[in-house]
Amino acid sequence: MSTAIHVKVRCFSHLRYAMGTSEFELELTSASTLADVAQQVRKLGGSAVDELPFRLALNQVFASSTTAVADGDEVALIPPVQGG
Amino acid sequence: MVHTKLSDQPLPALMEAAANGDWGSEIIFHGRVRGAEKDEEIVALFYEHYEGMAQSELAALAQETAERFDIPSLSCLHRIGEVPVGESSVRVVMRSPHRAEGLEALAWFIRQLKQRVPIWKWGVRANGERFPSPHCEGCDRHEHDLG
Repeated sequence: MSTAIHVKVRCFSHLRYAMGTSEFELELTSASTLADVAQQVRKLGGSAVDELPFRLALNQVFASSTTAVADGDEVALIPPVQGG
Repeated sequence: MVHTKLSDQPLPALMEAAANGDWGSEIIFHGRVRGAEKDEEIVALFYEHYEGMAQSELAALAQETAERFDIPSLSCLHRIGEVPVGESSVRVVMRSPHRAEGLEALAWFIRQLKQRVPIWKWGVRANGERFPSPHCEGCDRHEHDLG
């Protein structure tokens, strides 16, 4: 049986601007992956985030979209970085 | 010896390194804030960062650079928060036996920093408003990872 999990989503730069918030909580099913998180974010953000590219980090480490997420995880949406 | 730090304070004055007969090259790079972001005049850049991951990625990158190019001494200080136009936002000091590996390592380090350390720029207008810095027009050339 699939149970609900909750992850914290962090938004930065253009994504923070587009989403209007720096973080929010997302409810997912227990078998979810980072790809599911990205899909939910794009659905929530609508046209404002359609064209915005981002990588994903899970608990402060870059991770692939097939990585599973667990209850309490922190997922960061990382737009192209601009340090220097 | 690798040292990295993020700081919301102006970069400290450069200190002369202790004498070391193994280092024939010392390369010092400063990145400075220009007065315009994509043709819009600004008074400062605000550097946003992902607390924790920015520090760990920068430290890992510095260590990887030192090992990859056999650099005995690498230091990187990067500012976060608001940096006024004209001031330095980043300093890299690369010390090595010869200049060739130091120059190569510096170019690689800066390129990687702009691809994987989660730091972002916001332009700051004279009225204090911030706007996210447009994506780099040279992304392809700079090999930015677009996700």
